[in-house]
Amino acid sequence: MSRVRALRLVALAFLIAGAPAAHAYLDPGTASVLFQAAIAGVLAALFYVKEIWRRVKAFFTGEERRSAPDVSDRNP
Amino acid sequence: MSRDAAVGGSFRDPSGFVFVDSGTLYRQVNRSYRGHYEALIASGLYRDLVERGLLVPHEEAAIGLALSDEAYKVIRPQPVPFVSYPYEWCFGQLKAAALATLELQRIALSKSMTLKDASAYNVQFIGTRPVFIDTLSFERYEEGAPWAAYRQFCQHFLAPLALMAYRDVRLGQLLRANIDGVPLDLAARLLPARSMACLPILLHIHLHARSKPVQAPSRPRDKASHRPISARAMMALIDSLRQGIESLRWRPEESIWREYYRDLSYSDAEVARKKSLVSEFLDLAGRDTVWDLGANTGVYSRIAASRGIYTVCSDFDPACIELSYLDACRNDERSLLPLILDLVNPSPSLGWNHAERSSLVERGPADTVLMLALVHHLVIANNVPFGHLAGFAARVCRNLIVEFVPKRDPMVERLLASRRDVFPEYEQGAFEAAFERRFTIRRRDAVTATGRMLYLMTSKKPADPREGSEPAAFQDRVAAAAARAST
Repeated sequence: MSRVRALRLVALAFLIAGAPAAHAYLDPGTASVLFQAAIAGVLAALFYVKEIWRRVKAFFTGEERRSAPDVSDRNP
Repeated sequence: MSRDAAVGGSFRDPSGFVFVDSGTLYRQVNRSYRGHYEALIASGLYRDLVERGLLVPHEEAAIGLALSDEAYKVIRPQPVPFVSYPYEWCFGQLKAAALATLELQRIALSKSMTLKDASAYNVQFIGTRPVFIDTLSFERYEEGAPWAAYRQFCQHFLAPLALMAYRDVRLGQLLRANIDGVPLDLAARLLPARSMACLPILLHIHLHARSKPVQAPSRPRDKASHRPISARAMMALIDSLRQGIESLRWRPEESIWREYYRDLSYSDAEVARKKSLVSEFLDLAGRDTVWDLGANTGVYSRIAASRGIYTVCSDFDPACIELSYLDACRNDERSLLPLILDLVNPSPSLGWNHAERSSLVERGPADTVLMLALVHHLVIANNVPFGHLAGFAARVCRNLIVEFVPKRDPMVERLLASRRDVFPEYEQGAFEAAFERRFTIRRRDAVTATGRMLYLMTSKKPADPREGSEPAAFQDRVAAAAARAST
């Protein structure tokens, strides 16, 4: 999937940028929120593409698919 | 009384805390949490999660029990039979707890609520089933808001599981040193480069660890200073974490301990005899809780568990416990809790004021402890004198089913083959004398032709976890020092 490849390139750029130094007054919580906001949109797009792909596949194979994954009844 | 009376690990959350009154566990819900609590009940989320077995059920109790005037309600949660911690879980247990947490968040979001924290300590195991125990972790969800527990989830679950799967299963023990989970920069440094090929690991660990920390603001930050995260994007984030967790696998190799039972130390008839003696002794001993220490994959734990006795099956080998857990899941064994515990370095009390996580001893005493084919490992391989062993046993149990393995047994001969025999005291008489200072021997039966003996003993006084172990007898100390010097 080309989106995944694009995401990996972005990821690579991040990695080359280097790790920041730890500091007591730096706020990892806020960094996490900003990071989450940055990736959530991309993940949503990927999720959407996958969902369409699933439905297309289901249409041709005649398989019934659940719309959301359900792990509660899965044996660990 | 005030919050000072709350149990040790329950002080961070302003929404409420857990306390014990006359031996019963309660949770005070503070007025600041009222809106969220009402939403939890009114949305049907509480009922849904309890019906799925994902959340611990509770009853509302008299408000008069409250410890402070901030109280809005007092609830009485159903207690779990034995409290365990993530650093005692095997890979499969930590993975099951992670998936349960994500499932909880997925269902919460569908009812317009969200988990405000995703600590692995909020999950407990009842047998093989992970159950969320913090009823006050749910908040009303506002669309656009981030998942506040995202980093915590990655530190408590994704990072240790990835390290265990990609690097070495023993890295799960990093959770013991890092009480708020494995720091992501540490996980990223320890993980092999090939872990980046897995998109969720790349994103949620490697890139997440490198997301630029920002200077903490001098004034409280405006909540909407980040891009809003749509409900669909939030679900996609949770699903990506789920995929990451599900992609992680660890298959224990057939551990040398699994082989142990197929070894030459017993004949089939002797195994059958040992099993029937253990059954008989269990019927004579206390039947509330059993701890099987050095349980291997839990063959004898299962004798207790099959009688409906809640049994903690512990061993220091992660592979044995993984196999035991997988067997228990497959066979739906509900009274068996497999845990990784190293008896020569058991779980200590951890966290703030040494009171957030209890030591193994503080979580006892058990009605009955099994120590089968264990004494020679502790005494000969680890230089623990008989007196110390008896002292420890008296702290953790009322009844003891213990096996003595003599020097002429092939397994002890094997242990001694690689070390100098500095254990002149290691014989049945000295073993009995040391234990008889603490216990009354009720039964003494031979198990094998090589002279293995099985004992049922009852403590002479009630087990007291606070009591320290007794100083070693002089000869014991000399023997231990000599053994250390010779290695």
